[in-house]
Amino acid sequence: MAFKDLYNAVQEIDGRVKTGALTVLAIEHSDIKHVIEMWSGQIDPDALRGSYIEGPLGPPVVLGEHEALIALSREMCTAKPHGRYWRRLVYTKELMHVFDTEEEKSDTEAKFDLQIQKFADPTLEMTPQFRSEAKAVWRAMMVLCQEERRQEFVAKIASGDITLDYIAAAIHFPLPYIHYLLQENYTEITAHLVEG
Amino acid sequence: MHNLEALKKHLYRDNKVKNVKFFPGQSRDATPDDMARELIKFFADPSNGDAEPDEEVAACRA
Repeated sequence: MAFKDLYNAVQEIDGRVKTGALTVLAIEHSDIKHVIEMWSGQIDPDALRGSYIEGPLGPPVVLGEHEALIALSREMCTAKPHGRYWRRLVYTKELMHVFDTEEEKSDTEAKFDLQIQKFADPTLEMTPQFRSEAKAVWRAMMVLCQEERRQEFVAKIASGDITLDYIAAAIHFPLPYIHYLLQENYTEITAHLVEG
Repeated sequence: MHNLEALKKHLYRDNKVKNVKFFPGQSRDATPDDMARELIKFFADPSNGDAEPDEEVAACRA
């Protein structure tokens, strides 16, 4: 169960990393054996873009042990012009939770309560469950843009040869998140996340 | 907070899920109860049990 194996495998992929390939690799390198992606017309993206749920779960969406559901807002996924970009980030972020450690999983009501309440109240204590939410966003960026490609973008942005919009279009990524890829301390942050 | 309570009942008392995570929405005014409400609506949608794969989803993954 190692994110590092997925990260290393992604570095060998030529061109844009596809979420179908990421899903196959994530299953290969984690304890989760099946991931179901559903787009729901019921989910309002103003309140929620997506969610990851690990079974067992009963009807209407049946999940066994080691099976996961990624439910996304259909309105977000199909929005023009960049809904597909948002879907790539949100789906991949949720997919990264297949690498959550036992400590990071919200497997009780008490852990779930602290995790979801912290989205609205920054004064609440930091928990491993909430920290894994942020880790998953970073890990999604790490596998949607190979490190070699990211370094090319950093150099070309510095020389003025490309724009943030160019990067967003090249890797199909939401524009508001591109600046994270260009952060000076990106390699420092991500080095920790590769290992744990 | 009734949506949050209903969601916890579905996930942890009626079922025994192992992990739940969220990508919040674009509105800064959305509360945890609002996030829970969206999942409650999702679970209440009878079409979610459909066995047929969603062609639009499949195309997006390729």
